[in-house]
Amino acid sequence: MDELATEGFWKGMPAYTDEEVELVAEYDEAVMQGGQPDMEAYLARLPRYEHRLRPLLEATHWMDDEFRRIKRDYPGLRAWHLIGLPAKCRL
Amino acid sequence: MDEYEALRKLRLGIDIDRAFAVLVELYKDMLFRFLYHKCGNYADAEELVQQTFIAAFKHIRGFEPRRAPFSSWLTRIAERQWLVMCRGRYREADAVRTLSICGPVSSPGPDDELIRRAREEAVWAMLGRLDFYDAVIAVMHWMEGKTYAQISRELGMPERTVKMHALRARHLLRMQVLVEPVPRQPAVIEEDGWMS
Repeated sequence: MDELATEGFWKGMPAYTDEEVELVAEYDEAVMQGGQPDMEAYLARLPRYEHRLRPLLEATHWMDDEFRRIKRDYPGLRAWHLIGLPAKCRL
Repeated sequence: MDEYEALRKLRLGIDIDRAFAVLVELYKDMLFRFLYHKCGNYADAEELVQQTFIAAFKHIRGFEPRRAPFSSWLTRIAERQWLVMCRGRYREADAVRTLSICGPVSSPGPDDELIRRAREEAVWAMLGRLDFYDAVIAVMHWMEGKTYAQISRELGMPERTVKMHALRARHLLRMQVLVEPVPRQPAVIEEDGWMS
């Protein structure tokens, strides 16, 4: 499975570097923990990739909101239903 | 013949049938319980138990007793078999149908509601179109609120790979739902003269 991480372009996706992946993940976990991370400070860490990191970091807030809304509006929903796996399955 | 002896014989290729039967007898119930808990039905659990033993038998030389007990090694194989089965089913599944099964609970104003529903349907439909692990990790992370470290442990996947899948899921969801592509990277001249 590890090879997936090094896969370059996939359906038009830029070949994100390890630093970008780490930065996005770090930012994402800070948002999920309810924090208000300073996006500009994060972007300043990798100024060279700012143009493609900014939309991803902005998308983090959008996705966080979107999934919260889905969870709120469909309280009985089992997460796995979302991707079409059987109701009783667990991972 | 005990477990140790059975494993030794299997690795050496001596009295294979009897050694394998001993291991099957020892672990079939444990594996069935484990897989039944995962699948929730007898038929799938039974099939996966068989596939697990077959896979274990094929890769018995890869088992290193110093690293983990045989039961743990077998459980890891069972988990992989379960994921392979899920992945097969996932490809056939229609994720969007879930929307009509569950139905929304709240019912705000007509326009807002329509926009909200359209966006949600787009997210749901898109989740259904992501690659298996992208979708699984997206759900574990954003729906179940698990950290990358937790997901890494549960899936037995390196944390870096988990993060990459999450990033890919985010990239695709964003592209599809917001319909606003990530800008192309401007050419950068490296210090050594290469352009990236």
